[in-house]
Amino acid sequence: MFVPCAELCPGQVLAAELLDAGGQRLLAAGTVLDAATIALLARREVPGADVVDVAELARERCARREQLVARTERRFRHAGSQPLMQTLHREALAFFLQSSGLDD
Amino acid sequence: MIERIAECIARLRPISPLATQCLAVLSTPDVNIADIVTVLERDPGLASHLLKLANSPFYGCASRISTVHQACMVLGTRTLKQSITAAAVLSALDGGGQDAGMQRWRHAAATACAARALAHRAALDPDVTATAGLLHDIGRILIGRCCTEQYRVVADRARREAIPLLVAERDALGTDHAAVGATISARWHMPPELVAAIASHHDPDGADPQPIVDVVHVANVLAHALDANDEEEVVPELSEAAWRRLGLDMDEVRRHFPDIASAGA
Repeated sequence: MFVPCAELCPGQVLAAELLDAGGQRLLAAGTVLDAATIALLARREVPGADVVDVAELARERCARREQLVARTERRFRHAGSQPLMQTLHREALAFFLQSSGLDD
Repeated sequence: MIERIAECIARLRPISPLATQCLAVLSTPDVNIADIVTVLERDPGLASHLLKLANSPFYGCASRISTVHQACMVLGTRTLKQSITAAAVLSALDGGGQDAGMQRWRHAAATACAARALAHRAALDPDVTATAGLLHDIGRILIGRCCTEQYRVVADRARREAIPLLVAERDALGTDHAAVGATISARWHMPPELVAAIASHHDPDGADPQPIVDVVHVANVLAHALDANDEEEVVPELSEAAWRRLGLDMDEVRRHFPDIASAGA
């Protein structure tokens, strides 16, 4: 997501490396912007930067989570009302979410 | 179909006589590893399966094992007995040391890992219990080999209709993988506890429940439940009675989740 220099905010993360007009690398992808860096970019008249779209990331994360929940439900779909199977279903899902970094 | 499976069982080659020789050497008081290595190296199928087993996570070896000699040294005589048994069975089912018989390897390794972790709950030998976990589905390997297309249809139906695989197998084939596995294991004169675990891993609550059957039953369900790569196969039902007989609680079992999941990865 391209953001003009004047609208960049501290805490935003560069989605791609940032080059100056001469093609020289100013900042690497993944750099977390702070106020001083943004001021420096303004002084060097950098038009703006590609930053990570946080809303899109959240949407992707949500979709992955839903996919994982649905897949686990499908695999436990005949568990019925047996309490132990329900517990195992819950525990397995919690494990999958945690190991995928999708737990809240 | 059941006749065809019976025919396949009848045609199974015997377990490598070299494996029997190795097991005999291992039972002598002054075991010489060099003698075992010499015997093992005469059977490439057996040796390759032994290396696969030695390098699997549930044996917990930190570094890669690339020779039969290393495998023998690292595993030690006790574990070696179990792993040679398992390697001989898998090699015989494999029909030539290729990967065909190892299709279900991931699940077997995860079940073995879980079985090893739970063995102490029933004061069982961890190596014997892990071997039972590793071999519990040998019936599936054999049915998959002799009725490949029909077995795919059976598995598809079980997934589509969310019914236990055993039910779909009995409907279509007139038998199931536990019964087939039991027949094979008895034919190969496996120890009675291994035969029992293979025969009853889906039905541990018979007239005379056995601890090793309970452990392999629970291990099998856990391995299915924690297989993140399995998209469709339903997780078999867990016997509450077997769980209770082993005195398990989820807090303890949960601690083993990462190992079980990574053993099957």
